Amino acid sequence: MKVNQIQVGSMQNFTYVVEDDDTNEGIVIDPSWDLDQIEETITRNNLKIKYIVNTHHHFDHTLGNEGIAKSTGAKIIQHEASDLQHDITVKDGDVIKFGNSELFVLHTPGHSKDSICLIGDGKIFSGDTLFVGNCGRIDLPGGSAKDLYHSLFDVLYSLDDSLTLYSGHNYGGSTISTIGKEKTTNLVMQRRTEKEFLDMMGQ
Amino acid sequence: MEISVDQMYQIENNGHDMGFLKKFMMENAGAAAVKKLAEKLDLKKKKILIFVGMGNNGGDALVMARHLSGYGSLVTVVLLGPPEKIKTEESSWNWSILKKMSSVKLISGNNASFDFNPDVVIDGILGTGISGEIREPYASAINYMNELKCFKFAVDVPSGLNPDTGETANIFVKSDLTVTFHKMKRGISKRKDLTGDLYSEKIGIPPEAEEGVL
Repeated sequence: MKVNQIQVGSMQNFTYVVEDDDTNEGIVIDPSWDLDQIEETITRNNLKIKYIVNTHHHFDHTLGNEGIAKSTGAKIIQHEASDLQHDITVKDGDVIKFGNSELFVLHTPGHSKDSICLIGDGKIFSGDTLFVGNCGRIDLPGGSAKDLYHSLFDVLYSLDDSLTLYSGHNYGGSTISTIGKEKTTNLVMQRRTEKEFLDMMGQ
Repeated sequence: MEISVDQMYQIENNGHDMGFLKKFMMENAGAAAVKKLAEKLDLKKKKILIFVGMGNNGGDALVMARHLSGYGSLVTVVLLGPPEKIKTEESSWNWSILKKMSSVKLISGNNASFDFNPDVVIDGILGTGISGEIREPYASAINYMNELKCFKFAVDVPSGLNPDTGETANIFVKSDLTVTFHKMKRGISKRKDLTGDLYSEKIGIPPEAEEGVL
């Protein structure tokens, strides 16, 4: 699996064009702005985009769905808790397949009710659940510090340290990281009780 | 400093976005690989067989074919699939140049018969992207390469070796000389038993392309 990480728009969003190694199939994760750049990456790599996957429903991760769906014919995948229009609904434990590649869906609510992370081939696409050096906001509608605590510590913390982290925004000191590195350096990933975490997040 | 495959791919993309296009990286990679090979062997009149996969590792090997022809080698390229299935723009571009070169023999398709007697065989089958079991026609090409008694050269990484972990797939190439590009990948240096002599060569990627990645 090859990952094209493309920074788009003015909110430091990352859109990802992910390529299968063996076939020409690929997916686009979180299209929003600068669709010409996304199209250029698709063309240069001769990709047939099978799915558009949204890590959650917020506009800065979904605004480009229609445009990419129209140009590629790809089906839109979202978590079952999303109210936005989509073609395929996934839940925790589902697998998204393209070519010979597989991405496992983890439901990680907290930043929003429908937040998901995608895991496969030594990589994790974490959306706005976990950033390099930080985590997503919990003060938007559907956000919950308690949910985020459990997503971070019951789900993400137990993952393999070597996973390369591809998050939803370029908010950190580097564009990519690993789960292991975030466990040691990311303030929000330091071991806390649920209460300590809620206090820190102001909820 | 050794890097991961994911870091390498981001660095390449950053370089491309700076305007140092991937086709230039591919050109420099193929040229650097041939230069290293020329330091080890006299290439003139040598029969060189090149196995080429459908991705960018194959593209690097296609560049090698053109340079080797310039060194006076007798080059045969076996593309392991139909030309229209070549995965990237830069690889296709290099194939289209070779098609105009009568000095290089091109074979393509899924059912190439393996009957050669080369002095050197080059592995441009699989690069950094391997997932799961190696399938046909790649598997047969790798097995055939391993049976040959000649000098073996691997572009970037011996096919079947995971450049991050150093683990091998069901089938893998055992090479005499391996040239990887830009920076050493952490899994490759662990497996000198498969790489043979191992070098990391620069391919012109601006150091600034590493910013935010390393």
